[in-house]
Order: sequence, then C-alpha cells, then structure tokens
Amino acid sequence: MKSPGFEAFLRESGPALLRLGNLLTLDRGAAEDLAQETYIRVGLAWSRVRRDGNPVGYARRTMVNLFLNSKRRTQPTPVPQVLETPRDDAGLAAVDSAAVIRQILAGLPAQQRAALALRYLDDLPDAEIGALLGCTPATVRSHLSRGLATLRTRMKGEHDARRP
Amino acid sequence: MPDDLDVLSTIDDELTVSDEFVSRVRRGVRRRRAGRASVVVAGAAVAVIAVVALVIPWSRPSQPPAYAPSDAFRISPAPLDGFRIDYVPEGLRAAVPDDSGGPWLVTANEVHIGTPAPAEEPRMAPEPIDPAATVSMRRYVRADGGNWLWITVLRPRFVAPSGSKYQVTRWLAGSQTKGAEITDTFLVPAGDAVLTTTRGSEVTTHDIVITTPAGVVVAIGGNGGLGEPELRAVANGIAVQRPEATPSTR
Repeated sequence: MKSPGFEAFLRESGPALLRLGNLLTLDRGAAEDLAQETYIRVGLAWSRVRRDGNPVGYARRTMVNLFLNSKRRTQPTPVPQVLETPRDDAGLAAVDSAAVIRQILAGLPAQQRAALALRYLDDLPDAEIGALLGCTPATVRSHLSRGLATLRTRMKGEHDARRP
Repeated sequence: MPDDLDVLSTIDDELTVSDEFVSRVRRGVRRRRAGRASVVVAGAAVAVIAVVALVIPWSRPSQPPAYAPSDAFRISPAPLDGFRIDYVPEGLRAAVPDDSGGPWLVTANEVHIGTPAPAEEPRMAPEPIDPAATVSMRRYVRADGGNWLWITVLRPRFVAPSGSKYQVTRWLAGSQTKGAEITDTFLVPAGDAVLTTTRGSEVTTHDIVITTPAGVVVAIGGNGGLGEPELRAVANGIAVQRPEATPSTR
C-alpha cells in the first residue's frame, strides 16, 4: 500500500485548516501564520501522527491549542471601530457586515470563538469540541450558547443603530 | 442554532494552499528538525561538560575546570563535508557540532530525513541500490542564540549501474528549490548557483542552491534578517576543500 506523504496531506487538508485559522484569528495573514506553525509541528511528528491514523484531528487540535495559548499570552487586540453610517451599495454593505461580524467575534472570549468556529466549519459534536478545547461537553454547550447570544444581541444592536 | 451560526459565512473565506506556503512549511520542518538534533547533541555535550567540570576539581583541585558550558558554541573553521566556508556575515558564529547523517533515501525532489519514503514498503533506510545522499548541516547563530544562517551539503551516493548519474543530484537540488520562486541563476567558485525567494506575509527569505561539477549540492539559507547580498557573499566564499572526484560507484 502506498504511504501517504506529508506534503499530500498538507495540500489536501490545507484549505479546511486555513478556513479554521481564518475564523479563529479573524485575519487572513494571521491565519496563514497559524496554519504554517501548525503544519510545521505536524510535520515534525509526521511518522507518529500518520501511524495514529487521524492526522486531520491532530492538526486541528494543534491549531486550536496554538490559538488558545497565543490568546493566553497576549492582551486583546484593539479592533477598529465600524463605520456607523448606513450603506446603500450592496458590495459596501457586505464588507461592512463582515467588519461588524469580525468585530463582534473579536470581542468574544477565545474559547467561545473557537467553539463557534469548530461547530460552524465541521459540525463537530459537543464532546469532540470539548476534547479539542479541554473542557466538558456541558461547558461547550455553554460556550456556544453564550457566544451565539452575544452575536445575536450585538448584531441587533448594530442593526438598530443603523436604522434611519 | 445552525441558522444562527450561518452568520459566520460572512467572514468565512476560501483560502488556497499555495506552493509558497508548502515551501515555507517544508523549510520550517527541516530547520526545526535540524535545530532539535543540534539541541540534543549540545545538551548531551553540556551534560558531559558539567560532569567533567564537577569531577576535575576533585581530582585536580589546583586547576580550573577545563571547559565551561559557553564552550558549546564557538567558531568552527573546519570544512563542512569537504567544503571550506571562507566568509560568513559579521556577528555570526558556527554552532558546533555540525549536524551530519545518512545516507538518507532520496526520491523525486525529496530527501527522507527521519521520515519514511513513499514506497511499497515504507522505509527510511535506503537499500544499497537506492538513490541516497548524506546530509551535513552547519548553523550559524548570533550571540543571543538566534539561528541566522544554514549551510547544508547534500552529497549524493552514486550507485552503479545507473542510467543517469546526475539524477540524484537533480533531485537533491530540487528538494532545496521545490515550491520556491527562482529569481536568479549565476556562477560561484563552487559551481552553478540559483537564488530562490520565498515571500511570506511578513518576511521574505532567500536561499542559494549551488550544484558543483561533481554533483554535490550546497544549500545556503538565511532568515529574514539576512539580506540577499550577504547570502551571495557567503555563496562566493564557499570553495571545495579537496579536489572533488567525479561521480563514481561509491
């Protein structure tokens, strides 16, 4: 049987991991840096990771750990204020909307943001998200519930504030 | 809940894996692996030195310890697998010992150092008839211990009979340039050189890969703080220590 190589794994799993990185960091450049560090660590342990049979899970766990550790080390990054004037242009409105979502997500605790990203991207069950975040399924449900509640409340606030 | 989560699609971008990204990961793995090996060796050396330093004062109390841990790093004037390195930028010194090993299995544009090769029976150690190469690497560090410059000699093991003696050389050179943008080709005293450029989101790094007339590949890589002119100067300062034999059936 042909043994799958690390580079083939990287190319195959890369887009999904970059998407996860993008939702965690909320920045494309930072997502690429996070994915790069993740793959370097996976590459260093590749023989063992491949033998264990779940390289995607290992990479995902590594990325989440790196992200959570970086958030523990650093202070929250100030997020630019969103323009308050309403937009008629659909393209601008979309950009504006993305900026609002990014701003709201940036204000969530790292674990809540990670839980939302993992559920959205991979539809992982509570137990698996809990294993990745190092918490119980009940705590995951709490993270998801609080994160979504914050999203709803703040989006409604933004919407009301923009109404003429 | 799923409907609420759909709002994340607003910022969910499709990101592609570029050759440049793959190249950066590959280099990162290679350098980190080499660094680890050196740390293990340096750690063992420091442990031995520490034991010696503890034992010697008991046996010869009038003399100072023969070594200190800071001796783990010093300038290394010795050639690297037959290549003299006559110039490195000021402030850099060689981390000793060099990291050497092999022969490692070589496949198309890849050297399998510590990783199984894609084969019918995954293996790391090459059979006598397999394409293979030895790899010797020297790191140059700053006083603060930061890695700045890597010089790697990839010496192919030529096997006979072989349809293309230089195929291993081409694969070795390819392993060092794969995925990177080749931005220049030029001659240096040791052979033909190519300059590669890897543009990251924050830093841009360069490598120079030299192929000697005898089929040995010498790769020179720097971190983002080492500019292209300095790397070219290093490449120009690399010379064969002894006359190279033409590829034979070693």
